[in-house]
Amino acid sequence: MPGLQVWAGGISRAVRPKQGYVGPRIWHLIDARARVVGKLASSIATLLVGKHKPTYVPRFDCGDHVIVVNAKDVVFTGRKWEQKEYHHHTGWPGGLRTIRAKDLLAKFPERIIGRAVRGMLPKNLLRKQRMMRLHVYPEADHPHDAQLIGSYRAYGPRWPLGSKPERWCPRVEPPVPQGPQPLAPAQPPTQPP
Amino acid sequence: MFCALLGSLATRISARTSALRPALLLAQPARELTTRKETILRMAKGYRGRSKNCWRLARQRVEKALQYSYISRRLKKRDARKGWIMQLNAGAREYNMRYSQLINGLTLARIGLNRKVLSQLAIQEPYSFRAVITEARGALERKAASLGTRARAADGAIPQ
Repeated sequence: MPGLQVWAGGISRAVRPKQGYVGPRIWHLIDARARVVGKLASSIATLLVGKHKPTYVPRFDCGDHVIVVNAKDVVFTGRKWEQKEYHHHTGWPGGLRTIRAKDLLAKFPERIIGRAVRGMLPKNLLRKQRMMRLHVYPEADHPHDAQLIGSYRAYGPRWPLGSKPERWCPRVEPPVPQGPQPLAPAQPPTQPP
Repeated sequence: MFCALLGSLATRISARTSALRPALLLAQPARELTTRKETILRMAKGYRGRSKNCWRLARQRVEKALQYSYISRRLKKRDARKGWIMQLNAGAREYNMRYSQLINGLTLARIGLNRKVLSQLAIQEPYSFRAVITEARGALERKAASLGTRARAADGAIPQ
């Protein structure tokens, strides 16, 4: 049949993406309030790797961008804020540094999520690129309004339990610049009766 | 066994050459004769270090390389199938189904598409893939109804 691609014939006929294929990237906006760190991080790792897409190929960096806001409001179960410790070594003798989760949250709130996600990504050369597409902010505001002008996905408090976005945000047209607006006439201060 | 393999390889090379160029073969008969050592050293072209020149090293590296290529020809099929399943799982989850539920539904619906074709449908033919998902979900629901239970894969609505 003309126009119909024939897929029969073993793996040599399978349609493969070209070298360096990444596909379209979209942006995900996640509110981290009252989220358990590990569960949230595993879902974020899936998005960063791109394993939620049918076009996923393990050797290509085909994941999405993820913005996490309110990262200071994540939760740990149990007594992990007191008991969990983060270690790193400076390389010098006796250079093991240890910080409790509670102190790390006070010092660098975004690193709680960042370290959890980093540990859940595949340990290969793509990990650095994938981490660069994770944008964590401790407060509710973020500098990515320009990236969210197109369609993006936002996730409310129920995700990732249902493992689907709470809403698919439709395309928002950027505001048309109108030029300098005339200043509103100053209102006279209301007189108290 | 290894030497017999190489011997047959050398025979095949010379046979193919003579079939293609009979006149040249008649003009230069001595050029077409290759020894086993020449065959192996030719296969070792481009290897690193002394492996491309020294007979002892080249023989070891070529034998190992042939073993690797034998293994990889078989791994190729498994890895491809793994990749299709990962893509198919992602495609099914866009419709709130798991891979295992999709395969179960397709079996019940007597749909014989293999994983390669299904993953290509999920990537390139979203409407066809949605039709396949609908069939699988319907089969799961019919099975669950006959058992008097509820199909877990039927929870989510199909996005249009």
